[in-house]
Amino acid sequence: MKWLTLKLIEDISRRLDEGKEELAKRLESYDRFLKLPLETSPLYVKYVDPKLAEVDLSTLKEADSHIDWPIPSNVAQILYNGKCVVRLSAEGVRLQTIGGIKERVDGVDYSRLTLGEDRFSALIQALYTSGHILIVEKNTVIEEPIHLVSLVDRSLVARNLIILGEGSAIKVVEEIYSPNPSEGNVFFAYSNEIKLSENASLELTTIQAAAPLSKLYNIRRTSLGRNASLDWVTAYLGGAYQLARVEHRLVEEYASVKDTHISLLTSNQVLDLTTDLIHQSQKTSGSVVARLALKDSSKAIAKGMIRIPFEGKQSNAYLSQHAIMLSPSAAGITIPGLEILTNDVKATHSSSVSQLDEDQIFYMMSRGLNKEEAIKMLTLGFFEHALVRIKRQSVKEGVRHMLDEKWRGRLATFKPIETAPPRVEKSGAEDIFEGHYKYR
Amino acid sequence: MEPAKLFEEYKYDFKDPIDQYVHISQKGLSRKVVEEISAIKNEPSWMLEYRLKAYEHFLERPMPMWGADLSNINFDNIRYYVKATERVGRSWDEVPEQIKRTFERLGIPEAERKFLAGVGAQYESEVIYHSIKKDLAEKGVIFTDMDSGLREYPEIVKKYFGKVVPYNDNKFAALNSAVWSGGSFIYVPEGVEVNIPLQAYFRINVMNMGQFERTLIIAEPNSKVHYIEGCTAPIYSSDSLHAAVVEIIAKKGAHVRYTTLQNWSKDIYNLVTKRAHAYEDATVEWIDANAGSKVTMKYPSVYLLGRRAKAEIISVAFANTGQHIDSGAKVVHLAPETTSKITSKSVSKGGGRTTYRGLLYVGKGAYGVKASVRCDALLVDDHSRTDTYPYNEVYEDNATITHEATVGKIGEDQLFYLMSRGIPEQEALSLVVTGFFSSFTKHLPMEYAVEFNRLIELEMSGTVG
Repeated sequence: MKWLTLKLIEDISRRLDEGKEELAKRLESYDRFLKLPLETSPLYVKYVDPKLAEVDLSTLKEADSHIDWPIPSNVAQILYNGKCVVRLSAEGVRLQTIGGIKERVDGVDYSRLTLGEDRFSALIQALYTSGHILIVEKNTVIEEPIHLVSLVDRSLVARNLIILGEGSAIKVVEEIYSPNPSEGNVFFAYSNEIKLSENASLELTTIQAAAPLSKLYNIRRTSLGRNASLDWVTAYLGGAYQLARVEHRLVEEYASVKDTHISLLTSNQVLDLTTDLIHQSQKTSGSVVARLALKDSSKAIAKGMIRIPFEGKQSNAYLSQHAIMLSPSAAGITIPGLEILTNDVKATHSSSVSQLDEDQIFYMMSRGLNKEEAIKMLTLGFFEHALVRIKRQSVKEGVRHMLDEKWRGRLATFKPIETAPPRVEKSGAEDIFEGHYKYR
Repeated sequence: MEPAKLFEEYKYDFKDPIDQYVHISQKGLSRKVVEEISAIKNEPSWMLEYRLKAYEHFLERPMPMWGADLSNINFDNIRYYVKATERVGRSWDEVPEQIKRTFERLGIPEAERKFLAGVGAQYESEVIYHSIKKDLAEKGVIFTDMDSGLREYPEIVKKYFGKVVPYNDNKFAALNSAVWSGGSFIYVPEGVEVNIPLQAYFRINVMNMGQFERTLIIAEPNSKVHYIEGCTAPIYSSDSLHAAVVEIIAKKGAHVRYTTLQNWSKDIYNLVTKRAHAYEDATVEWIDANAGSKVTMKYPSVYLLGRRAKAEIISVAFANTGQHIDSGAKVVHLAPETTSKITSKSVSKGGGRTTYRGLLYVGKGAYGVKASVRCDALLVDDHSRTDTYPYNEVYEDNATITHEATVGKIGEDQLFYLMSRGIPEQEALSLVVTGFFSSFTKHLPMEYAVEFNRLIELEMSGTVG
């Protein structure tokens, strides 16, 4: 088994025209993948779903395939099983795929990028064959969202890169679907590596609607320069198992990140989410919000950490994890952590696991809704708190629609939906602490 | 009577005859040491077997890697059993200046200072101070040390010993189960309410001596008891280990409160397992304060096993230079309509580190559970540290659990206000910190609260300038 994989790694490296160094890096990463335990942090050893450990590498096979996918109207790149099928670029924007040394981009040396001491980081680094690269030149401002679509029907390992130059500002919608899912045990391991230079701003919405049987392993690493801002909202809808490990590094002062995770889990779905917020510089601001609703026998494990070292003075940090239990066989685990090494900071978290409020259900029913409708409306309302963080109305409406479809047991495809903005909408943008008792 | 005379009597009362058998075990742990401890105490064979099983488990069990740094514990350099009345032959001059000063600041009487510093009469491992009011004894309340408890009430002890904290619970519970000595044994019969807090002082004052006391509290249905352990005076010793086990059984409708004030000297590893079982309608409260020790790892826990059982845990930590207080709470909800509340307050200063580590567990079928956790941490300066690691596990849809935590510094406006009223900065700082701890101190008997506030004032000194 092992030699088969080693041969596969050599094949990949040759196909991508890599040098000796890159191959050595891949082999070393594969070695680490074999050695590392499922969870390396002593804080979380007990809190990881063991089923995530089974990664069937024999499903990684090359095959030619073809897809008809509607061609989008604005800037976009669509990869089908790792191959580029659509690329629409614009001035100031470079869209590429990771796939070949010849496409190497200035200032990015893949062999030196290390995802981290983590089993799945190692897996991705050993076996990646494709991925989106989006590079935005400095001072480029684009209003319309750029779509990065990954269509995945069989096992795939990919690295996605977004790099924003100084003063640039863009919006990205990242989408993951399985248009013709192959049967059986398919996994998709992928990273999102994001680097924002000084004053850059990125609004990112990720929609994961992969095949219901697939396993997804997502490693996210971001690095923010001075006064850069990242606003990321993720909706996890598809897949049987989703692991997501997120690490935000606020490297320079005034950097700010808002990271939002939304999930409506049904049947036997498992979401294993780890978020790390690291305030490496002073006056940075970070906020992580997770809103999870659990139906049927689903399970969610939300692990979050705020780290403020001595250098992170005068930083503000907030972490909130809220889960709604909709079934007696669901399981919800939240672990909101803080590691604070200096005093002049505001750092706070709140977490809850609870059921819907009986009084609210009763109220809705007294207005003529049946119980199922009342529960649905309250659950979708529970997500609103997180959805307000999607600034663009058409994207927000599109995600709302997908959540609604998911409630009915369907995985929809994202479509921006233009509606007139409501006259009154609560904005969570002002206060990152969301009225936490300490800072009310 | 003159106070001095009183003390003479007090001293006399607790002085054992010189020819009494004195035993200090050799340093280090072996099967032989465990057998020896059991033989000296003339224990029943089941206890020896239990000790030996625990010893085997202690050897097999790896050191915990998830918490504080325990790499400096040298298990071979610890005495596992010290009988009372051994004179160490240390003089008052050998007691460090800092400890002497502390005694002075806390207002501890001269004679008692010597006792605490290990210069006066020596009373180790075994509990020597007990005051059962006569009327309590008449009500059938048993309050004695654990060794006597085992001798005099073997059936009760055998029935409950190790049932709440089994020997294989963790490495240090295994160690305690193997070499335990001393501790309190309390039995409160059905319907009896003990109105005064029962108190015990444990003291480590032989150098390099380990303290492995074992406490067992059984509260029969509808009884009520409040137990207090510890004292606020620092207890002097060189590198040492304190690994206690406390087991509480609160039966139907019983109410048990266990208060701890921990101020071990700042080179002690304090690794304690405290757990309670609460049955139907029972209430268990842990009021736990940690100010001393080099490293503390202690997470008082309550297993709510009967309908409507209730748990309240107040955990307070103050870490100064060189200290790491890793404390918290665990509540396991295994029955319907059970409720719990955890409050944690911590202050870090001078590079000290406090950690809150807690678990809230709601098992399947434990419907109608309500649980809340609130952690507040205060950092006095910019190079101290605080961590929060709360674990919330819920396997039941009809449950509500919430957790909130916050970290901050002392508000400039609070200080400014106090100083504008003519209070010097130093005092203002102390006031803010004692105020921060008030949700804890209000649960203490008055004399303890006064001592605790004085201790905080002392620990806060030197903060300004």
